[in-house]
Amino acid sequence: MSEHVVTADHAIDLAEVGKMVEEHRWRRGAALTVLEAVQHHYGWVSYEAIVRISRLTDWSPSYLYGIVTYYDEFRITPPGAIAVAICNGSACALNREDKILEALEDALGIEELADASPDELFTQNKFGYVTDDGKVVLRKADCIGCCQLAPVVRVGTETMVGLLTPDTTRERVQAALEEAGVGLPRSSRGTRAPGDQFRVGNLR
Amino acid sequence: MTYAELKQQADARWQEKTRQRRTRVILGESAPDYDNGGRRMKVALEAEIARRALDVSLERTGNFGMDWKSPLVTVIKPGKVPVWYGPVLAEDVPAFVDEVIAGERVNTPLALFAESEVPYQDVQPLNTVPWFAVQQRVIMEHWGHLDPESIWDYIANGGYAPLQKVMSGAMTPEQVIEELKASGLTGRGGAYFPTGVKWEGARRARRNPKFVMCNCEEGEPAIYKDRRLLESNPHQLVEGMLLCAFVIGAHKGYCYIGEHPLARLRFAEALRQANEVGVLGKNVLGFDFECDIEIRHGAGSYVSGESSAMQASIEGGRAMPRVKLARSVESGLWELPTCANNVETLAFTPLIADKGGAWFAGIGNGGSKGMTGTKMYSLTGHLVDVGLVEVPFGLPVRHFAEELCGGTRSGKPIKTVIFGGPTGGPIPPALFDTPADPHHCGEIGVLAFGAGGVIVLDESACLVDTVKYFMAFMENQSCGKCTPCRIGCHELLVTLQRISEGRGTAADVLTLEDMGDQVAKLSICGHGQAAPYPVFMVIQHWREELDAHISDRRCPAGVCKMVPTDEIGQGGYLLMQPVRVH
Repeated sequence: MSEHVVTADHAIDLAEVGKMVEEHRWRRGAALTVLEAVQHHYGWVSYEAIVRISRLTDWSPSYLYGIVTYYDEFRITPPGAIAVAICNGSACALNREDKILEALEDALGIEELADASPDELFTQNKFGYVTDDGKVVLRKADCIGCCQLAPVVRVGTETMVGLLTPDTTRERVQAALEEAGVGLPRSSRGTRAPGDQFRVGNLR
Repeated sequence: MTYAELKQQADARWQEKTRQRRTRVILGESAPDYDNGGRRMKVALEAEIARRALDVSLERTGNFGMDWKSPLVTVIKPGKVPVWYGPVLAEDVPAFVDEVIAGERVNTPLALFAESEVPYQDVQPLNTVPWFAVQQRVIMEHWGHLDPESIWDYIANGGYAPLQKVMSGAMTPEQVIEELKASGLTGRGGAYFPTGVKWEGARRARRNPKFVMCNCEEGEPAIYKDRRLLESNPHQLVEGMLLCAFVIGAHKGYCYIGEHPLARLRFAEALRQANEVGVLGKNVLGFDFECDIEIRHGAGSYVSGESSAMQASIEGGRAMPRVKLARSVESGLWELPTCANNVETLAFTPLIADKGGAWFAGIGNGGSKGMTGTKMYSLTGHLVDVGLVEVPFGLPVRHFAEELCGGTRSGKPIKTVIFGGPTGGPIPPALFDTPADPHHCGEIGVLAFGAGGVIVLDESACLVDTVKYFMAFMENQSCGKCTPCRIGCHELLVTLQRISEGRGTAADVLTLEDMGDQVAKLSICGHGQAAPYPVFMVIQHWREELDAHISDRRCPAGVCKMVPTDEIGQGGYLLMQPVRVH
């Protein structure tokens, strides 16, 4: 899945959406497939895209919004330039992934994730926290499936940084980020990704 | 193309490949190999071989199960025994090429085992590796030897022969169903429903069209057997789905794959090749039978592994389970007859059609309660040997804690083995002689045996913290359709959270038992019905540890952080606890 840099005003070109609808709509049960194509192309599903799909088809915006918010893979906020995802599978969680998360937040300058209550932690799959410079987003990921490396952090889409200890986390994640062309931010408070802008009420 | 033509071509290619004019270097290329640095290693190895202009054939294979030693490399010198090496990282490549590929050295520190009966140049034979010795591989037989992206490798090794046998009329669909019933094969997705009965029901269903639905969602943490099958030998599943379609009379198959990027790519490639050579499409294997398989991608939702939720997802909506008034073989996808099977189950069916039900029934723990054959398990947790194994069904739990896990990383003794992921149950060491199958584990309280996830924990784990983690997962992934699951899982989580913070009371244990009972009995699908089981197991077998959190305000394993006493207010009311509800 591609991650996109999104400009400040989050302006996106919706021309592709029509093509995606045309490509998939003949299939039975294509709503999920169309949304997935949108997510894959833009890196997130904006409400403009939902409205556009809705106008081209007979699926109501609320139906589409229901799907998008139901599944973990969809993002309803623009992604950061590069995602640092900490695996939340059993193997990682039981190999003291919480300590790694603390070290990671320290390295990235993000404060909020460690304070989230246990039922909220899984919700972070969806939103994540973006560093102040907007270059890095820290998320939790569902089981990545490379349990031999637990606890593991995925940088970008393919790089796995595994068998971490709290002491080595900063160094190794920094190395992986530099390889991907992003440095660690100098100072950052870390803000929650703007999930609030997206309300059903916005859909007219 | 007909089967005879395919087989002829495949055999010619396989002979060419294995003729051994030059050294064969076979790289393991599945997700664990890539994750451990396999891509980088491959680039380095290609560059090194090109630099030295070595005459080497570089090949690809799938997963062998030794994830903790990935990336794996097999070196076969002409006329010599194949020797496996791992983990071969990019840094090791120059020395590795120098010594092993270009040179004559065999027993380097990276050498794992040799595929021989006796030690080969001081490298131990595969059969004496304890991890392998307890295994019996039926599905995984060719894994690590075949190229997963080539249909020819699969056909040359006996693939699509069972399908040909059935489609040519040498075996009727009724006979296939009889063999499946005789084999005692049960659904490997977690429900363990007899596959023969399900297929018979689907064949008898009168309405058309019918569908085959394959479940490769695998959304629970710490399980990866199905995706590895698609990464290592995807044609096993293509054949299983085709066989099922032919037997029940369906012309359309849906394979629902969760968020497993490599598995999606490999399965799509397998379908493309199968279409190209005529194994799929208008005339399957040249016979007058049409079948098409479509991939549907899951988008990250644990409950979509439940069959009626998966149907809702394939139909294009939210993956919410339905109240099942009729079985899915009567009314499934778009309320039409649908045969829903797990990946592993479907992969077994061609083998049973080929070798007969009696052969399959002879494997496993004497066929007790239909638990026959073999079972794949993915092992994770605090153990060393993280990987995929295939063992006879009903192997005692002790073997998982000894040979298969290879000890713990920290060296501490094993505290528990958890079967079935977040809905399974932790089994205490005193019960390690229980055979690992749904029937026997059900008797000791592990009511949801699950699809084959095994988590091994050492003494450093706190069971209260562990079940709290599981419950947080179940609470988050609850679809919210039925109240007992939506509210009940949350209340169970809040109660566990309170106990783990040292704010619990003796009444909380009663709450856990009482509410857990209600959640298990009143929920409409397996998600809620199974969610409280781990909690029950902890209450039953780790009561002392639980009580230490409540009465002593102490976590014996030192994992849970206790809230200082002066911060404890007038706790006790469930809904007034400061846990944010999203």
